[in-house]
Amino acid sequence: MSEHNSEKHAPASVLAAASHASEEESVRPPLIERVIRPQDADPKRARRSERLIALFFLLSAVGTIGFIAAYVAYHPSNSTSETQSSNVWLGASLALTLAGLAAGIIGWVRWLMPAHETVQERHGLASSEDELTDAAQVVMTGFDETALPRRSLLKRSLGLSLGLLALPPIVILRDLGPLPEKKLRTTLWEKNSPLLNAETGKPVKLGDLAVGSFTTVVPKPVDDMTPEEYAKTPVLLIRLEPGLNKPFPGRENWAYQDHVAYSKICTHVGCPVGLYQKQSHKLLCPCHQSTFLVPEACKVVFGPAARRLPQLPITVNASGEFIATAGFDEPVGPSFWERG
Amino acid sequence: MTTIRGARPSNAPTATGGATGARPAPTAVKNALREIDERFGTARFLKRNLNKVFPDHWSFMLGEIALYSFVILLLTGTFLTLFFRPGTNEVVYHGAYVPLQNVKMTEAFESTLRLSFDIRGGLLMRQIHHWAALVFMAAIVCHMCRIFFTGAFRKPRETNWLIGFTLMTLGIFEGFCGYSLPDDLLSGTGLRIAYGVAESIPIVGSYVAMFAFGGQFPGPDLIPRLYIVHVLLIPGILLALITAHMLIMWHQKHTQWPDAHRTNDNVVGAPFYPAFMAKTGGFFFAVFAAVALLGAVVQINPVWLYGPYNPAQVGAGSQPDFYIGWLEGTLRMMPNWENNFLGHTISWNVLVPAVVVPGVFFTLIAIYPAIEAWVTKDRGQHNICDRPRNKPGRTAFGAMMIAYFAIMLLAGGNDLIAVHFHISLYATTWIFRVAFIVLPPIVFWVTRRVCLGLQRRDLHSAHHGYETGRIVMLPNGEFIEVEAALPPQQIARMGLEYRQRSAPQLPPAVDQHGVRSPASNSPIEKVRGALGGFIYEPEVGLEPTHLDEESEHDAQERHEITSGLGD
Repeated sequence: MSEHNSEKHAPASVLAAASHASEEESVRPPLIERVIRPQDADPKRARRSERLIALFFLLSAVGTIGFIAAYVAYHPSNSTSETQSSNVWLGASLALTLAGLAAGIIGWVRWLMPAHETVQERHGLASSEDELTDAAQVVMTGFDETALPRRSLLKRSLGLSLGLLALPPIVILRDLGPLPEKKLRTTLWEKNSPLLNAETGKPVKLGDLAVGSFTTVVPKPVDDMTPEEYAKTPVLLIRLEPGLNKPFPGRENWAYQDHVAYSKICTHVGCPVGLYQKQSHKLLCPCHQSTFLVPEACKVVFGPAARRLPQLPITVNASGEFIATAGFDEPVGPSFWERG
Repeated sequence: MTTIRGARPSNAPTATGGATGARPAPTAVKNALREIDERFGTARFLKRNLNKVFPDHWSFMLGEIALYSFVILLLTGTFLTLFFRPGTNEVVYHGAYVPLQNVKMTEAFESTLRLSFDIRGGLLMRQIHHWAALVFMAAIVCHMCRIFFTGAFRKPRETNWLIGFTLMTLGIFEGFCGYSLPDDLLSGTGLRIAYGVAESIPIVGSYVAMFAFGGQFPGPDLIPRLYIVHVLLIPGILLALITAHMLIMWHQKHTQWPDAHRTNDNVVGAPFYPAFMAKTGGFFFAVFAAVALLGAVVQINPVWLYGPYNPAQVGAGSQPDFYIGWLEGTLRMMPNWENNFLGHTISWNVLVPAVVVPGVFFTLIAIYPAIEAWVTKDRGQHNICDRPRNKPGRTAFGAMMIAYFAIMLLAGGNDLIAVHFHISLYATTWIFRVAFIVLPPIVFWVTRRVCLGLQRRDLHSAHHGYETGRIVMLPNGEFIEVEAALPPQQIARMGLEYRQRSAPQLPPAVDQHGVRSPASNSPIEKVRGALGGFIYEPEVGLEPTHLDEESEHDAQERHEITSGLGD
């Protein structure tokens, strides 16, 4: 493995080259080609290179001092512009510190260290056939010494014991999360849920929405819901132009005076369907561009979503506030195996 | 066996270096080494490893960049953990960033803002960390391409290919966990998509989602879980695998490009100590300087502009980091297919782009070395890098895979393309759908043709020399262009002896006794043969030129004239 061997195997020309070399190289890998750089031939040039390298190292030192200065001088919490200055000066001085070191070291290697081509034999990784036979023999002898091939009771009971050992790590992870049960099918929306503005928490009244506009509504103030409840409840209340809505068969009374309500959670992978194109009455999901046509019960007109947005049946109560007449009749959000 | 051309006795003058090292080691150095040696037996180890020869080429630096980015990630990441709090409890923000004052947010987002705006150097460390992650993944991808196109994954290096592949896959996951931690609007949207993808898995999907997130989305346990996965679990595995990767590389010795003195059985280059060691240390500082400069002047992931996560909100033009972006592209391209199977939903529109496509592509990448070895029946040791042109089938396959990923990645930004190039959003989707089916096979075919053409040119210039541009009139009135032979080193660098040969001759399906060969019926052998059709090319030979047809006398005459003029 050592270089001792490689010298033995190296061709005569390499040995000749090596024997001419100085004593230093007799312990080093054999040379193929001595590379003479301008710095090797000209001491003046070598000194110039040394000065340049020293300059790089000095710049690096300057960078470090600059870093400490920037750390003391700027405090990011004072103002947004000082956040900016702090970041730029700390980063630039750190970059100077590191770049100076990098340039100095690489210059030092390239200009002042020898760049001779040396050679080494690879020596095949594979062992000899005898060693291989011996190793196989050792493996088999040891295996026989365990008595496993003969004692089948030992073998089988050990197999059972080790096999069962795989179970505890799986069992103990059972409580990572709850079982799905009906959780993905239900939302907080139910009969008589108020349609509250998600921003203000106030009930949305008939007449609050201008024609062609929309708002996000929730059944409870956002602060009163857990994040898990909130994540699937947002609903879009949209006021269409009069007479535009074409109800889905069987949902004739789900809209109220051109107001329609649909789940805001995309049926593709669950992003909020946030973009309403007023002119074309389309809802667009910015994540993967599934597009739903609102007047036609939010049917999919483009993109990867396969299903319409679920519709929430709504009406207006005695005090003119929007309420749900029932909860969603299907799970909101992305599809899942048990959805049916 | 080694052939050394151009070896010279080393009597050339040396002004610096060389001569200085000839003095014997001082007693102090020797004694220090002895003290260590008597305890650990290090002398032989040191001599062997400090003298280890490393071949040099810029393309061997790509893996180094990945390694150094990893070190930078460990350093900056440790700093970030001193301030980041991976909590999902709601708090009201009262920090230095005015626009978000009094806004409710999770502890995770609040502490991210605090470390960006109230901790000196915190924003810089965050930005360097994010940039280093991008450089880490980009360097891994480039390094893998280098390994792939030069065939450096072949025996004996298949294990290191698999380790590298695992590192790449873990890196993607690690990056996703990392940028999800701040719980900002962009990363929360990414997690929402991840939940939807998990739900799409047949039979176990909703269980996978519930168990991973600790319940329904967003799940109270998710951020703390991502945190420990991001700062301990995956970095630990990465560190162990990187160590194994390096030790195996060290033990097996590096591959090298074909050149005059280089053979399959030797390594030509510089000894590890001191020049290579110092230079590689210098590269570490160079990589660190580059990402520090990026962190200083190029803003990345400004979470304070996105705001805290809110499941009812989403930013337009939301794009993940590039190493996830191709998955976003497949999700966008996929048609909206969904089936009901015996009362169960199968969401092909999510399952195919987010689970099946990445699964198939990544499996192909992982097992490619095994496929190639199986088809070519190549069991030899390979230490010389293939030039990509000399293995047209493999190079074309790699280019095709790059085309697939490039189209997926571009499709992930189709909204930006639509805006900047004034194309209809829906048109871009259709363009990418068609391109995904049509373009990669074209890329395969074109790359193969280009490789064969380049091979042919190499062969031509190796045998006939290069055209000097000098026109000479022969005594018989014929005009010829003088061709000069290439220097031997240049020919050696073409690696012509390592070219892909034509497929081995199979025995006839029915031999002369009328007995059918067992291989001719085996479906596995048929698959092997079909794949061989892609990997093997008809071997490129020399095209016959007018030179081969002229008489010997003419050739002799031409030789005399051109050699006289060629000097």
